[in-house]
Amino acid sequence: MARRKYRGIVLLSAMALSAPWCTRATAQELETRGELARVLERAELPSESKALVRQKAVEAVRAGVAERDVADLVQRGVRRNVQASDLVRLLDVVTQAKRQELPTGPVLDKMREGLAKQVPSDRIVTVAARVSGTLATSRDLVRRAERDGVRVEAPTERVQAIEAIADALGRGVAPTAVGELSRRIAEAPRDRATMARLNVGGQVTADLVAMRVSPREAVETVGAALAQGFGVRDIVRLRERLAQELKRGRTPDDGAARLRDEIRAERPEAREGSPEKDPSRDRPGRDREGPGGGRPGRR
Amino acid sequence: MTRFEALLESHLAGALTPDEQREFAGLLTVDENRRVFDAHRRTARLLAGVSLPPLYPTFTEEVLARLPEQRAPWWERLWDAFWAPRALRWNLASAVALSLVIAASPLVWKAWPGRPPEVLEHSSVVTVVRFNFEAAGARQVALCGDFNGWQPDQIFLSDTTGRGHFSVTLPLKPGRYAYMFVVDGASWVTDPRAEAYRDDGFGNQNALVTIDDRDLDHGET
Repeated sequence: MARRKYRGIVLLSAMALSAPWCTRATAQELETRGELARVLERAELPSESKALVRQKAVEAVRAGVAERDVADLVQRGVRRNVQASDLVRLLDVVTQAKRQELPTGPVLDKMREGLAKQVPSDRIVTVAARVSGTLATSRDLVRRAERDGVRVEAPTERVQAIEAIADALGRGVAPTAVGELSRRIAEAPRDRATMARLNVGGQVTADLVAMRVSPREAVETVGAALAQGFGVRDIVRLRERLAQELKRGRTPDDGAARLRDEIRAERPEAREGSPEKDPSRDRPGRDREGPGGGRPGRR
Repeated sequence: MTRFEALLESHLAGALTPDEQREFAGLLTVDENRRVFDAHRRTARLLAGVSLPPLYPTFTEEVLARLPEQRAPWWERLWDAFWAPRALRWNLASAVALSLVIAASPLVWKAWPGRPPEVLEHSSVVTVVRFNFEAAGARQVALCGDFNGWQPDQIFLSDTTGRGHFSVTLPLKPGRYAYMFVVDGASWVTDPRAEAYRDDGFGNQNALVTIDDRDLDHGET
């Protein structure tokens, strides 16, 4: 009787312990029966190559990359006649990025872009790996900013900041300069020591560089705005203000220098009470070239 | 317990050794012992005729539960309610059923049609952006960028004038987007009049368009 009782307990324990594995295995079975499986079935690849790609694709899904993204990447690669070995390398790059807890969106975007532009696979792998490396540096900078006291108010802010700072780094802004920006934010009063400000600071720095301002000048300009206690909206407006300087015929670096002088001369109370505070003035496209001007215009 | 009582107990249990049987027979010659022995034998005969129902497993617990007890203060009862050990009654069928429920619940949760979609990003504002491109002589111009996953066969510009002035409008959420035009399905061309540019890493320049977040008007200033 006692033996039967113990047998029942052992059986029950074994079933309870195996439940998570059963669930996981079943979920993976479903995954491989889904979009990814359909793409792999249709892929015109030799059976050995197909098996290799399947193995790497499943690894990517297990690492946490969305099955839809993996299937999409495989589908595009096969459509562009990418060799299975190169496809495997692409999958490896995105899997490694996920395992390092990096946002995989920019990595996958760069791969999609390269495949669309029919860039040689080797080059796509190299560039995507570089994007992943930049994201890792950015992630470290964001973590350091958090340790220094920059507050994260919503989990998505962290990912957005990592992507924005990676964008700035990719445009030639030095990690030390980003560190300086985050230090200025961390030193601000608590209500302004936010990741949202670091995110926007990174974005606008990257944008100023895209407007041909040198990385050093861009960091100086955004840094001046942060030091003056500019909020998110005012930092975003730096782009428009620089565009106005460029329209007046200044070179990008001269325009940035002029903008800095203006920022340093501004009194916080003047900004708070100025027409800049009027939200309607900040609506996108207010003073931008309209449709037909050649640039993207807002309606 | 006397020696006689010990031997009597063993005798009733049928566990006397031959030596003990001889000793027990000797002790029965004493009248007092004989009377006690006879009384026990009569009782045993009576009990042999009685049929006892089998005890069910929770008999003892139920009897104990019915015994009157002194009412404890409420905090002690609350404490006992939390910490008193309880006997779990189970059988294999219910254990199997419970295990199946545990194993299947994540799948049901995943596949349940009424589950609201996971909100990954919220933005209440979409800005309509017009893209223009001059390409005299081009038969087809497509727009391709971050916003459509770089699909070159998805968004086509139309030449309403017939003079190579291509345009398309697109609703975009706040963010920064890289894009290029694809002329006649083969030639990738950077927008010459974009607001900003970025090296694409593949030897070309992507044009950039930035859509400001209008929600910022209501956020931090």
